[in-house]
Amino acid sequence: MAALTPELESMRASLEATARSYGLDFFDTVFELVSPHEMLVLAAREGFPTRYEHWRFGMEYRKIKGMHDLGSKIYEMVINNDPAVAYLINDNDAVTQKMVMAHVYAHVDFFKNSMHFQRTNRKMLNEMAAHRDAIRGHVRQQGLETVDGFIDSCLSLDNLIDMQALHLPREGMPARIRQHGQKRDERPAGIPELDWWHPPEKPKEEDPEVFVPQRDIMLFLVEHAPLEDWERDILAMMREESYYYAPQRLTKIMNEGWATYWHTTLMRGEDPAALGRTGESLRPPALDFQEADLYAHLHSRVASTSKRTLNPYKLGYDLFRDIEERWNRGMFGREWEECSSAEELAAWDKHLDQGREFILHVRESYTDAGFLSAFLTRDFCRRKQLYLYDFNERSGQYEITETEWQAVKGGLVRSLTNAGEPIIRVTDDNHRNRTELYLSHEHPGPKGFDLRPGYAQDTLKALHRVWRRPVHLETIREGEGLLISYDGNSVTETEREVPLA
Amino acid sequence: MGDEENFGLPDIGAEERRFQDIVKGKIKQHLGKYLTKPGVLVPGENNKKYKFTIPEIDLPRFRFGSGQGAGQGSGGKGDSLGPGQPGDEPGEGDEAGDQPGEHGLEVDVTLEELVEWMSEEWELPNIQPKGKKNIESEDFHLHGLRRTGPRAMMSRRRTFKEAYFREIATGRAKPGQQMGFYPIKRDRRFRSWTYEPQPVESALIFFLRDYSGSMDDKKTTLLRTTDWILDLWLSAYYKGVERVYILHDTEAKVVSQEEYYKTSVNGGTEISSGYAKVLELLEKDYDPTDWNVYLFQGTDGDNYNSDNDNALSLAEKLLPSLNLLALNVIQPGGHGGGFREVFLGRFGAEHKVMRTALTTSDDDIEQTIKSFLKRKS
Repeated sequence: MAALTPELESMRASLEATARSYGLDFFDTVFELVSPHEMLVLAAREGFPTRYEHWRFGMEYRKIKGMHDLGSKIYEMVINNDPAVAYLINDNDAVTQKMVMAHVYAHVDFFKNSMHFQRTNRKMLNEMAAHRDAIRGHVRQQGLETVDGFIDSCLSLDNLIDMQALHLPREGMPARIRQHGQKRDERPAGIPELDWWHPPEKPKEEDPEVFVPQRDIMLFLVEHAPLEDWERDILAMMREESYYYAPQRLTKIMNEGWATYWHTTLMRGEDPAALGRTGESLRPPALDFQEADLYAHLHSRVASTSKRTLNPYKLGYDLFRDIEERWNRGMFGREWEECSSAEELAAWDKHLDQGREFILHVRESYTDAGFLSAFLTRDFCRRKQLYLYDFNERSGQYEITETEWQAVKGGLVRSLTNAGEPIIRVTDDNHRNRTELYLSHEHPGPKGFDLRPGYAQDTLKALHRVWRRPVHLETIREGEGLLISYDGNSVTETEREVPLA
Repeated sequence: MGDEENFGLPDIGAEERRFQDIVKGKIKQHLGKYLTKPGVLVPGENNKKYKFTIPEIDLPRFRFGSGQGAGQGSGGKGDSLGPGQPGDEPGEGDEAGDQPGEHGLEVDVTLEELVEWMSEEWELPNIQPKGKKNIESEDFHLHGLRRTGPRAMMSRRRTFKEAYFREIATGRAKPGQQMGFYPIKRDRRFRSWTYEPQPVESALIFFLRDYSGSMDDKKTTLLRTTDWILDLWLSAYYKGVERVYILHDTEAKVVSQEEYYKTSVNGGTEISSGYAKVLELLEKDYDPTDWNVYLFQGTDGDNYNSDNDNALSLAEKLLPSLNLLALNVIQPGGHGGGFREVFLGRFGAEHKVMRTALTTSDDDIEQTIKSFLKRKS
């Protein structure tokens, strides 16, 4: 790792100035120059140079290296931190570096301004280093196998957090609880009664006799599972990391779309046609004439499409562009929606020029699910040829199942809700009066929400490792109610009456 | 630890190795399954590293099992987007960590490791010390005492005893009297050891393979894989092993190891020809009183009916000389010739030196080998 060369530094300074002139608002960003190999190692550790040691990073490294050897390249990596940290590969050409810098500044702007990131730890670099030191200490005392095994169990549970609670301050609660004995009614202080955006799941009246279902199962376990101190410490750290990454998982499309939108804008300069303005006030492109060609090639790689996955860069970018255009031309509201003349619609332009301003607002407020739900139009869906597919067991093929825009939109939003994770609550910690843990999966009914059976069973085993008493999960499989239980020896699946909603 | 701190990147090598160890542990656990993947083991090439392609290890989580997704591009309802991979199907009885990911990860495993995993639990059954040309190994034995030796090997009990005797002999002590004394140098006694020759069992292994016309590629591959694993394991665990490879259709011939694994199909089937060949070799070249004789026989059981009686009577003649007759009947899908039934009908399932196994697919190979090599309980 090294600091930027003088050429790159002057490039960076001018790009930073341009980006700020557009209204982007970001933390100071430190760029580190790394070798291609270092980039792979960093990518394996999810960007953090200091991360606790765990075999899965070794696996990530093998995987990324394999893909790298096949020609896939990681261009950009940036850490949500204040100051933000980003990496540039030292053998990239100037055009790539410019593009990556522009892209990074937009990411940092997103980190800083999106409301969903407001509670993330902006000193995560230090926090991660602290986690590493703590885990090293535990390894010294407990042994590698023991600690590794426990971390595996924690990671199996790390999606059991409350994604809706991202807006609640968590400072009131120590990130890592080192002591036993926090009782249930000692709720962490400082949680407001009602958050206007996502009402937190909080008991209206505290009644120690009534168990309040909660989605932050990780927290529940930190507070109540019969753990050794070192185990509690590790579980709390894993929870902290999971919360740190949660907003990024909830805004993948927006975040990448936003960064792509801005690197495009900065590289190409302002488009007079899109702005509906002319002349002198336009900002020039950051590229010269010769560089433009190289850039076009690069950008096409970023914005490629694929049949079986949606490219978040492309989808987010296209949607931000679409929103910008609609708000520039006033293509929204009742008048627009009720207009039925094709010619009028095609030529619609109210010269509002609110596009730029509006997307800045959009990036502050939405998650991916809300973003698509609010702005994916029929026209957009048709132009971008979006569809849903499913696996057809009879033919052994993946087949397109939906192209109708509302169904596609519904499917997309559903798959992005809660970052694509099932919604699971802990509903009882004293099931059958035997301190057995009872979880309920909130299953809306369709088969697509069924949990993967083998995974569910193995996750219950991990949960048992933490709770140390029998654990149960109530869910639905193929329309039938199901209770999966693990008692420490064997997994049992019993049918269960589904209460009619 | 802790010395690199925040500058410079900590090496990822240790984590990579740790991951590899975990992967190897996984392969070890499901060895039969991984060994039998096509292309994993290439017979005839010893001392090679074997490449195992294993799926990514996916930590189990509560997650949706659906194959649904969204994509982008031209196409209408019902258009295909390409085939799924086995195991991709939602709701399949899956075990976490065994789902093939999009990218398999390759892990190198050495022959030694592989054989070690094949387990110390297997053994050649009924093996006995036999023969003049027994191969001898040396075994470490502690016995006797010497006056010199390393301090660590000093026998305190004997040393003090010597000191006590000396005290009595010199008249400074009387028997039964307790008093303080110290051993001097010449009292010291040390344990000594020797290496003793140990008789080692010598074994003669016949690999007898049916290569008649009915043994199609699939059957042959199954059989060859099984024999190859046996072969590898034998060469690692038994030093004094002699191996003889015999192929038979209606006639039997002795071939080299390489030929044995490479030759594929020929004509009709007379199992008796194989037995006759083994008998002939035992009479001519190998005296059963000198050797532990093992016969690993593989066939699809599709014998000429006219040959059954002959084969059985030859087998009967053979059995007294054998420590084990392992009949591996390869029948993909579970149906095929009836030789095994005939065989079992004559000798019964509980015969002392005879074991049979039915191999119907890759998954059975490990079970087959286990049933041949299991320890007597």
